Amino acid sequence: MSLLLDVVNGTLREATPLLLATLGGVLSERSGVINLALESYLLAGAFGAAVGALTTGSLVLGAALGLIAALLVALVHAVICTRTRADHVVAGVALNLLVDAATIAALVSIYHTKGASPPFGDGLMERLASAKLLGHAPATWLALLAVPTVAFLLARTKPGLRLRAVGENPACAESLGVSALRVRTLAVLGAGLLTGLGGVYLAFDVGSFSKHMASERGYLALACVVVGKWRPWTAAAAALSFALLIAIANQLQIEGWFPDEIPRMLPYVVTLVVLSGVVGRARPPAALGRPLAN
Amino acid sequence: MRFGTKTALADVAFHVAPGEIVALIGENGAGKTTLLRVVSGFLRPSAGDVLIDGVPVALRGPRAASARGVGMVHQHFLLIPELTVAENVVLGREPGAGPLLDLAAAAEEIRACAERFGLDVDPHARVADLGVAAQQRVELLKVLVRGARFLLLDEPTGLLPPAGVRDLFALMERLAGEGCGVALVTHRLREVFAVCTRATVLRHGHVVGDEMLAGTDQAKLARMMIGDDLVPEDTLADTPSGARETLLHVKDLTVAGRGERAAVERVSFEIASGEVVGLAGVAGSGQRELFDAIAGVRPAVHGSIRLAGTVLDDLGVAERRRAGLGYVPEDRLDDGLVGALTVEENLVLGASPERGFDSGPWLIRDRVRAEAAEVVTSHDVRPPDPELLACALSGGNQQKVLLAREMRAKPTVLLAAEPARGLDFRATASVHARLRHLATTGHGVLVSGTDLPELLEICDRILVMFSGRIAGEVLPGETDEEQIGLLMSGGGVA
Repeated sequence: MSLLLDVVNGTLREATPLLLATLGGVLSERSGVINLALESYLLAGAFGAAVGALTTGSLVLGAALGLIAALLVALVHAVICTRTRADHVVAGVALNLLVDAATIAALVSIYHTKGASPPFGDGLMERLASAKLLGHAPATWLALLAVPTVAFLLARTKPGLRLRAVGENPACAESLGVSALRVRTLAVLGAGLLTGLGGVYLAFDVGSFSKHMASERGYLALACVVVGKWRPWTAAAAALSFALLIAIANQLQIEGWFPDEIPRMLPYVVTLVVLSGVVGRARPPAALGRPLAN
Repeated sequence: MRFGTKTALADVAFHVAPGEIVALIGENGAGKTTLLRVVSGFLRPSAGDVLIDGVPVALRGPRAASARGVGMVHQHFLLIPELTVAENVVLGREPGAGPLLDLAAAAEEIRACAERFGLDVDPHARVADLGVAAQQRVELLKVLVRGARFLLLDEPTGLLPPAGVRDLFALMERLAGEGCGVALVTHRLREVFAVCTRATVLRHGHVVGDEMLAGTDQAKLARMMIGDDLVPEDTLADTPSGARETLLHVKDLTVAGRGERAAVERVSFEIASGEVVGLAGVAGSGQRELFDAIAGVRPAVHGSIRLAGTVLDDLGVAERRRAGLGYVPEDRLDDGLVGALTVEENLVLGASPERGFDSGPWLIRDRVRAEAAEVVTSHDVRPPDPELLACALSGGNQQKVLLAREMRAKPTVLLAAEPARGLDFRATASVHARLRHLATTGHGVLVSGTDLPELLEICDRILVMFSGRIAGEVLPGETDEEQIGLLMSGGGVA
């Protein structure tokens, strides 16, 4: 019984950043911006949160700084992807490399170490523990709540309709007075906010920042977006399934019954199978990755 | 209005009064679409004004024009296939409190408007699932729910069956009766006389005539459009040479469709030398799939195809071309030409080695140049520059290049899908003459099209397709448009 509980709790822990980044990816991609930069939003969020909490001693200020850092990265990303004709894939990968290097450089200049920030003190850790609701961090509940919210936003609101329209045919949206530039910029900022919260969670969960801390969760989130066929509910289901596989792998690693590499591999195998078109064809938004005509 | 380095419209005056239906006619590239795009705010003029109700207005975009009551229905629909009809129509002015989208209210608004104008559309249908005629109704609704007082229609009849054209004209007359001004761009002069009261004629970006239709006739308008008294010869001598033999033999051909149903089902027919055979049908009745399957672009599920004794069934596209098949596909820029290559490169693409454009792996530049120079002159490609990229040409001129490439290979049988689509009066006549000429010199031609009068004019016989099957075969002399229209919509037996 306690084993099952461990797996459920582990799944929710793994799912929190993955869900948030996946939903961010859905927002961004449905508006037509290929988002390979989710990894950098996570890193920026985690870094900002750790530094903020360590310097101010406040969790709220730390979380705020994490979100601001992620939003800044997303803003740069949005400008590159909407105001220039840059290739979205190249822009995303470049941003990931840049933010990864920047966080390491900042670690050196602030804490004179290349690997990780100092761990949070007992005071911070106690407050993190007491902030939990029903045994989980507020970010976990927010992540779960974000699934129906994003689904509702896309399907049943005016901004949602405009976002989908821009992702399919920006010229048509423009002709009806919808600014594709604005819609895409806001969508990418929305992705920055959601994914940044995932980054804040990563830092608070461990109680410090360490380099490469996002450990490819941003890329895995993008895989969830594709496996979920760009729809919020199915993408979230993919994220939860992948999180479950990772939680099982973590448990196996502890118990040592079975090589944990196998469940760890499965998300990628599933993604490849889905991409190959065996399980129904996934149709991306028609204007995905296409620059706006300026 | 200037367009690139070339002036698309110069010093043009064009007006539409409330309650009036004005035709805007001219050859390909005369500037008709450009003019509509200026008036509807899609393009900004480099000099001159657009006046609405006598007041000059600065149209900073399509939305500004729409707010002033100007709506345009584009030739290539500006719709989002993945969204529903309701979502497409209300985009940009969505009903609902605050940020909420009230789709029920949207559907209700559309239903009311659709009912008022007799436009039958399901607001909840996905646009991708609709046929061309229904998509056009959605485009019209988009404009009508925004309360358009001036309706600009860019070649709206090209894809419609005869009944659809009649409905559209009835709607235009009704709107005019309610005080709307309507501008119609079309290449079909008889449509101008059927529904319009006045015609403005454009040539090379200039207005060369503005005539009340009561005092003029088709020949006079045609002369204005072309600019001289040379109305093109309709057809060349029409006597097939030599004995007739069956060139193309299609038997029981079945081609898979997108869903459960086959796109083409057990279709059989023959084409003899000296024959131009028409393939009529509402857009999407399987013509495209049938052509693709004969050309080898799309696999056949069942059936056999023979070309002058050669069985084509197991041959690839290149082998079928070598066997003597020519193909002008429906979608000229996606399937027919390579936009990023020059006109001359496109012209020799896929040419057989016998024509001498290459030697081993090398292209022989001089021969390619000579071929291209001849084509741009003889087929009147404008601008006549063989080194221009194909995507830089207008649609009509792309079509000329594609037709030239396929015809000059002297195919045993030529498949031509909508050969005159987007071509003006003169180019259409020239294409018709060339197709007839190809037949009289002993080749076979299969032409598909939605323009029935065109098919009736050039074909020796017409196969009518409905829902993937051949619904009947008719002879132009003995059948009229009504009967064919009936067959096209699944009624009647020939």
